[in-house]
Amino acid sequence: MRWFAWRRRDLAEFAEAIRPELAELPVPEAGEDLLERILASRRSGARVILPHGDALGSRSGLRAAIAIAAALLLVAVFSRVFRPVGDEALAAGESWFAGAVAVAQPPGTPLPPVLVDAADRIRPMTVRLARTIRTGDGAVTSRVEVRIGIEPATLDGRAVWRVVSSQTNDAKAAQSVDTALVARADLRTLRNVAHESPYRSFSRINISQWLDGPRFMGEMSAERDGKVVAHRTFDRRLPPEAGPFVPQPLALLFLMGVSLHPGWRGSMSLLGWAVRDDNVFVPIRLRVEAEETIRVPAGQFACWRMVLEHSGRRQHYWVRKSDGLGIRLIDSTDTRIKGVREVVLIAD
Amino acid sequence: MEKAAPALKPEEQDVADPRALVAAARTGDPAALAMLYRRFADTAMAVAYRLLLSRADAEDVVHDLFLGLPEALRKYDERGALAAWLKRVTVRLALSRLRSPSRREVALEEAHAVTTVPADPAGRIALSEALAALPASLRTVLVLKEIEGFSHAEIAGLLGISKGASEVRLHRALRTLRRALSEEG
Repeated sequence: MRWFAWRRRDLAEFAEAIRPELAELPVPEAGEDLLERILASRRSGARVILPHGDALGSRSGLRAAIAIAAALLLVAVFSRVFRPVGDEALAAGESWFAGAVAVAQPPGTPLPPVLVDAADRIRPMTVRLARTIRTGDGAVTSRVEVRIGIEPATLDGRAVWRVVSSQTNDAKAAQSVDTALVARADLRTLRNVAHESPYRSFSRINISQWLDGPRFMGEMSAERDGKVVAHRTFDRRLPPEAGPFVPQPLALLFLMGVSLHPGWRGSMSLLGWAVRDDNVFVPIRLRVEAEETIRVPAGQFACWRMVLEHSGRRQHYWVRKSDGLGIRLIDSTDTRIKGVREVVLIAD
Repeated sequence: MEKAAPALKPEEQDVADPRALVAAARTGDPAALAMLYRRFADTAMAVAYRLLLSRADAEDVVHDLFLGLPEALRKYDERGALAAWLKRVTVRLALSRLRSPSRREVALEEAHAVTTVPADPAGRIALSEALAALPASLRTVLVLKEIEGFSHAEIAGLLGISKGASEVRLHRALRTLRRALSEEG
């Protein structure tokens, strides 16, 4: 090869000689099977937010200095950036049960951990839900539609469910996509990736999490103008007694894997972003309170009416008896919002 | 296996205008997305594979690229070439995956599993192995500069490093590669 003749010469000449050889190294092709996979993913409702693709300018010394100053400022205000916030159209780390905050705290009176004994009830599906906030006089002050899709996938040879929760707010050009990979056998959380765009003063934030036994690891990056301006990793320990740990996208589907009955009660925890110490997980106590048939936009269904307790709050939650899907949630105990938060199933 | 860019199917010829394709793809039209895929996926796959040296990871990158493309195109202002825009997005996706600890470790067998039928098999495999043996931080700069044609300023922006650091990394990558190939030779 040509570069053998150049290898003792100047590096620039070596680079010149080796460039075509590098370019000619064969690469795999993008086949039709991959296209089918992509189209199938889109049909299932899966979405991702792509990173910035704009052209990049030169990085002058002044810009570098500004970037350093910005980074220092970011460090100074970091704890403020990830302070839990009130309800917004696309709130940071929006939690189905806990609103926009997930506060780690020790569980209260112990309840048996939720036992996943019907994981085979989970099936590929796509559901649409609406999350609204109503004032005391019934006026809707906030309404966001969320789509959740679940499809089979594999992770390192392991059968998993890929659960994708996505919501957009066209008026604000905002988008949020949360993807979780959970084991098909027992719904154990393996991976979770969240993207929000924009996020506060950032154009985008990315949270990537992975669980390995009690370890809950991950990283956060926040972008501005296409550049990562903040990055943080975390490595936390989850107390086994607070499990099972449920990622946000799976929250309303999780009880599909659980056999409920009159008098049933249990505890589980919802995972937060875990970037901050007080946003790792939120323990939730659940119990079946009654059987009730309710009507939501998706139809009329026989349900288990449940009570959820966490963070000093109490919510009513209706789970469809036929498959365990959460179809309605009402929370009037969130003092940070002036009204009632409600989630209802629009279609499935 | 090497492959030339696939030709458009006859029914696709009348929508060869990228702007028409982009407009259709923005609506989530599967046919338009498929056409964009057939035009640009091989290039994206090549870029992703060169950065990740893993077919599975590269496929995941291309999957994500086209999965999110209809929504992303709504922000694409068409000021620059679509191919260049897609390439930058692909690079960012691949770099993000490169930083992810969940990605599969690259096996050397896989690193040259696709290097079949080269004109100079021994030399090409040696080059593949030398490239795969480079630290990711050096290989990334080498690939972006010498194969993908990015400037040091662009690489600096992509990697969040200074232009000088990009130049230093390229120098080290070339030096390491030259040493490895010298030993091989």
